[in-house]
Amino acid sequence: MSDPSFAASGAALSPLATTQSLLQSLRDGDLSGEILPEQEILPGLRFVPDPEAGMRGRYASPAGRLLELEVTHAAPARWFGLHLRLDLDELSNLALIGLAARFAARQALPVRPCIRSGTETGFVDSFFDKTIAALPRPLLHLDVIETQGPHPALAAPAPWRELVLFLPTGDFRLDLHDLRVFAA
Amino acid sequence: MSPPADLAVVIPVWNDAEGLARLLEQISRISAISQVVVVDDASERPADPETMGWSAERLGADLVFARNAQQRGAGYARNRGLAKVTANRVLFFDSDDRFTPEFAHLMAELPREGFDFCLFAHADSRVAGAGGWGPLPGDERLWERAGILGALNEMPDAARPELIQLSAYPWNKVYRTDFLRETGTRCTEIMVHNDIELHWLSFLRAGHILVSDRVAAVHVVDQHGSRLTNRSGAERLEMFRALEPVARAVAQAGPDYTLPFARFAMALFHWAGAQIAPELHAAFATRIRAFLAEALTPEAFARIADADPDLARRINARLAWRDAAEAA
Repeated sequence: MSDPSFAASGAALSPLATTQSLLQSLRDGDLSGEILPEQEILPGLRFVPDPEAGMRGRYASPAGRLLELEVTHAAPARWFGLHLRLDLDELSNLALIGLAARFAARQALPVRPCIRSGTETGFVDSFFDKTIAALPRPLLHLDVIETQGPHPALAAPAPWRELVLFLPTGDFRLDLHDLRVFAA
Repeated sequence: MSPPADLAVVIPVWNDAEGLARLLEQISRISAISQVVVVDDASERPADPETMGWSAERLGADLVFARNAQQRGAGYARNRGLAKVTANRVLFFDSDDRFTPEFAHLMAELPREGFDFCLFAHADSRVAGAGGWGPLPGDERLWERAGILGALNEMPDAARPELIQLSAYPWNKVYRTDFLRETGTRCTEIMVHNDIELHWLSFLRAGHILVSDRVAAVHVVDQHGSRLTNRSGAERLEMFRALEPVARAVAQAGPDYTLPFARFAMALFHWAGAQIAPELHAAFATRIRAFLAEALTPEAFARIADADPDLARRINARLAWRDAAEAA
């Protein structure tokens, strides 16, 4: 399996090449394990739970798919995020960032995607317009966000960016069959 | 390194050499398949893979061919093919159906033993033609009610009475070959509805069922073609040869399956009634009445009436049916 190390990623690669490589590694592999807060399951991919919510969970990555998640919270959570590093620090030559995702769940569950841009003091979140609905019948969700639109954080250079998928904050079982991120 | 391939695909074929050629081409690219058994059910022009240019070497799997001297139906062809299977796992597939890329992933994860069969999701060509991707709506609802999610899991006990009602099969199950042989589970040797017995008795006899929500096959239906599914003659009345052993097994399996079987049978009667030629309607209604009277005990009928009064009403209507001579 290739090592999609962000530290080693070349600036000469096309936008999101390292991110695509990471997602392909997940598709090709058969990882599984306990979800540990802030711990990367592959370089550039990690879960960020509310530290006060007592999250417990497991993930599995079956062949050809990205993630199957089973999560419980001991207390009401304020957030639970799946963070994917994007090699998209410089957006001046790009008009939009898009995502295509296919989720499934036993009952309807919402997932809110955003682009998180690092700043000197922290980060700024730029949310996609549409909330993803994970349903028993897997559906393809497609959305784009304009870099020159109503999100000033995307117009400025940023030391790092992530795609954050805000997952349900209750107990849930959720499958992410596929995720594609693109920029143009 | 992946383990050696260990899956036989049994393909009954009747006047569909073109579909068989497409399927063999696809199989030649699936490394998980170790044996292909083609049984030609007396096609007008024999569909022999060798004469079509296929060899075991080109296929990447052992190739077995048999031809029925006269047309006996897909049930007989499947049973004949099963007898020739040497692999530990077997899939019955139709010559006009197609695998999806998910099938290779499913086979990579499926164990060689420790299960009786694995049910996987499929897409129907009629749904795909309308821009969707999945089974017909009735089967889709059953999958949703069963709450199946995930690439490969044990089928929960509570899901069995739901998924046993699926109307589409048998090409969506990978069987452990010895399960079929040890339990004597096979197709009914009739021209249509031959796979009802295989499907229902598999569920009722299996101890360990796996299930996958991977859409691993596309079931292709040509609604105007000459395949057996589109038949409208007296062969439809033979469905009772398949339903009767299932009804006996359902009665022994306990109350969980009474309502699912009644729903399935009534839906089948409704569907087949639209297929059958008008001159056979009276004979069909007579057979339905006799079947229901035999299959439903008063206790079973009471359970149905309690859970689904409308179904009970429709069963009553079938039981009360009289043909013109009786009415006079």
